[in-house]
Amino acid sequence: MSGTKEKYAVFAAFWMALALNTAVWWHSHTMQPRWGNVPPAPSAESASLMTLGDKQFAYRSFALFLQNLGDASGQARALKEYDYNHLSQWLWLEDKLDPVSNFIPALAGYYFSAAQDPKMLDPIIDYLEGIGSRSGPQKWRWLGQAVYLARFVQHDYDKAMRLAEKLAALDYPGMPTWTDQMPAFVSLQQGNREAAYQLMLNVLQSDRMLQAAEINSMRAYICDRVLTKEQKAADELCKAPY
Amino acid sequence: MNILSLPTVKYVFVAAVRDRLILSLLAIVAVGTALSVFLGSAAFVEQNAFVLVFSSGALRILSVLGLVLFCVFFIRRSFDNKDVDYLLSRPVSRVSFIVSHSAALSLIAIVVAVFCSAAVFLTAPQNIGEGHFLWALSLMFELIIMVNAALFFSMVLPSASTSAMVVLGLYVLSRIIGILLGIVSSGLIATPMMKGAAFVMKFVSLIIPRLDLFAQTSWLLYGPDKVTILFILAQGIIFSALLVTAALVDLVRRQF
Repeated sequence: MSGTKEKYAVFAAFWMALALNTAVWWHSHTMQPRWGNVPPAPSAESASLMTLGDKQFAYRSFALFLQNLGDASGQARALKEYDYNHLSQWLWLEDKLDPVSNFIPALAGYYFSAAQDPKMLDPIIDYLEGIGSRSGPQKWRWLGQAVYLARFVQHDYDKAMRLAEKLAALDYPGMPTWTDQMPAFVSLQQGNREAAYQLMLNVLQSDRMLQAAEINSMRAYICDRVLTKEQKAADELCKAPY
Repeated sequence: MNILSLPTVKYVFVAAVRDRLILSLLAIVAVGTALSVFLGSAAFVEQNAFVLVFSSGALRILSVLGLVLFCVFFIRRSFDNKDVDYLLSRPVSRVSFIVSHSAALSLIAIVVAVFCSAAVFLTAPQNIGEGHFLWALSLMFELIIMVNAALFFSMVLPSASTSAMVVLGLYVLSRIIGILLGIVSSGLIATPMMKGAAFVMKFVSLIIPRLDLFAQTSWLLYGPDKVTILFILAQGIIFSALLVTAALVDLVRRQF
């Protein structure tokens, strides 16, 4: 083959390859990644292996993955479409990788708890209950969030009461008074004024060092919300101004 | 006998500068840190923790990759260009050749570790504590171990790509050896074949450094755990010495 012919053959081959490449692109450019829902979570060992044994790196990588789950490649999915059982596996996996961080509890408590169907929240509430029952700085807050979800989102007052009693039974430094009052709030919601009254009274009479403003606001709650008008008029607690 | 040749050390340094290694690694450190800041900032809470973990984890791997590739290709090129033959024809003994190369590469590793640590410290300067210093020290020794491993394998194996793959294989194995040993001693191994594999794994672990205990990103957030400075020093010095002496054994036996 002469030099000129060889040059034309090379050019022709190049343009043909480019044309074929364009054809492949034409076929594939509309293909989008498909939403495969929440995948099953790996074991903690496998997750750690994926980041060459660095558990904290695995925790943070998967945390960002969970945060952006269902919102990739321009497609956003509603939380109601998520498989919450698989999601729960991921939450517990992350807990094994780093039980100290509050990122995943926050994600579960404030983001995944926004699912449109309240029935889906059971695994989230179970997770928050597990995390919130532990010792550790500020961990009790997640149990408080679990009570909130059960009471205000699921309207499951029995569950809310069980969680509220668990929260009130915790005794870690820095826990505010409202954690003790939580069972009373739920009792009132259940229509059980007598129990709510008794629970609030117990908090008032406990050895907890209450501020004057806290005592007054508790009295206001008892007198204005728990007691009826007649009960309020008869109760010694409501006689002094608050 | 003078076992350290300063001109040889300088020769390796000049080669590193000439190959734009320092500049490339600086660029990698800058890009890696910037990407980590970008990714970490996407987290809805604890952004600083994300930035710190992503930058430290990424820079750790990137610096190992950069140094290993430089060492392997530099040594193999020295063989191919007959630089090794030339250097050994000078008044430099074989022992001095290996020790000087090891010292020079270790110094380069220290420089890179300092750059990486500075970048990581700068991403979250408000929480610098004991864990940060342990992390920086262990990163330094990890890089020293890896450059000496690269020196050994590139002296022993005739191909640069094979050497690079073997060294990176060793790196991966040494990062996950703790998990593998955990599985071996978990009591879950039941079949005779698995027991045999477990025995082999335990035997292999004898010559694998415990890099899984080095430079843990969790130290940057929660402080150091059970790993001590003494362990890091011992592992770094002893394993590097093993690699250097193994490279020496190979070189003194070699016929040119």
